[in-house]
Amino acid sequence: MALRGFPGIRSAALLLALLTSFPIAAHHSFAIFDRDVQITLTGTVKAFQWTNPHVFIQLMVKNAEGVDEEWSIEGASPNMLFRSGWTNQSFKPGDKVTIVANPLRDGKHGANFVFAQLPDGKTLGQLNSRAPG
Amino acid sequence: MMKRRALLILLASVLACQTPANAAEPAALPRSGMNGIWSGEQGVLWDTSVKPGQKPRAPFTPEYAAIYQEALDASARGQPKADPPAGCLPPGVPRIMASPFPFEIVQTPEITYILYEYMSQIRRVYMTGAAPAAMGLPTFNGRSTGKWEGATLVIETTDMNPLSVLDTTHLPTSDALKVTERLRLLAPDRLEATITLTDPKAYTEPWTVVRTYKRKQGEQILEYVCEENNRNPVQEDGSTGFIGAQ
Repeated sequence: MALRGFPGIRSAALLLALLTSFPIAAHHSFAIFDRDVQITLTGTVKAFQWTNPHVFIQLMVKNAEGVDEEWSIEGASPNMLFRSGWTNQSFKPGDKVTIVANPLRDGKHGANFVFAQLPDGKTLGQLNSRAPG
Repeated sequence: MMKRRALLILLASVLACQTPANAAEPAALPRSGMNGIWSGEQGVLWDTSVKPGQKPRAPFTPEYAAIYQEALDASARGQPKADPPAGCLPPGVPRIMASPFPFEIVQTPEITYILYEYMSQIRRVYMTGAAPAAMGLPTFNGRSTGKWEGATLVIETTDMNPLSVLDTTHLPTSDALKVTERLRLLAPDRLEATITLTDPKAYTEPWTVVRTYKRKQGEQILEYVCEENNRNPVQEDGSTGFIGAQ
């Protein structure tokens, strides 16, 4: 599962493995994602839904044939993210980003946000992202 | 006769002087240090005495141990039982005390209000008499009465909706549940809640957990409307959906 260029990915995966021995705090919808798998989605932001109960990043990602597909990447409540340094401008239409996420088990184009690499090069997580400026 | 009348006049004037100068000012509330916004320090799993990944130490009756095991098995199969808040139902008491979102305590002489960010829930803790009967039906937040024991606020809650569970692992309680919360300040910016569940159908003995809450500088209560954009609705078969993914 090595992902070059993303330091800490191995430790994140290890932590995840340790925590799945008993169903943890998981939010109600985590069961629909495969949290043992992480995929990398690189594309252009189409929309950022800064709403409860979960934020969504709509990301246009080119498939193997070079055709754009729309992915819906689900994050935590904006209330939590706001306290963690996010704003409703953390993702803007047109932003070119790379997002690491747990995919939907049913194979559809949806995933659970793990972290993102932003246009300015910074890494954005959910609980301990960079402090507000 | 004159002496007695003079005495009465003297008594009347003394009593008149005892009238508060400004009767409209409310008396200072005895425990106002507990007012304000509090943010939980433990995670959302109910049993704070075990590490994440460990089974909760619930003293289940055999019947409720089986109910819980069934929920764990369903989850292991990838078909977890639907969690009521997933369908935007409120978490209820006592689960809301484990909310990862803050709450605000506001005291008045008759009612201590607890105002929760999560789904804008309000608990009214009646301090001077019984809680109203609420149509005689169970409610998500139950009926609460409160009293002070020294500096500890003791809240007793009954008549909760048995649909509610204690956390996302689907920890069950029954319609016989009674909740006792003992709230006290450990410091001006730290609140402790000792929460005891008494439920003779579900547990063989009272089950107590402790939670703490921090007063964070500059914190505010934000809005949380669950129905705003819920793209994970509970389906008819109880599974969780994901709207908009092709």
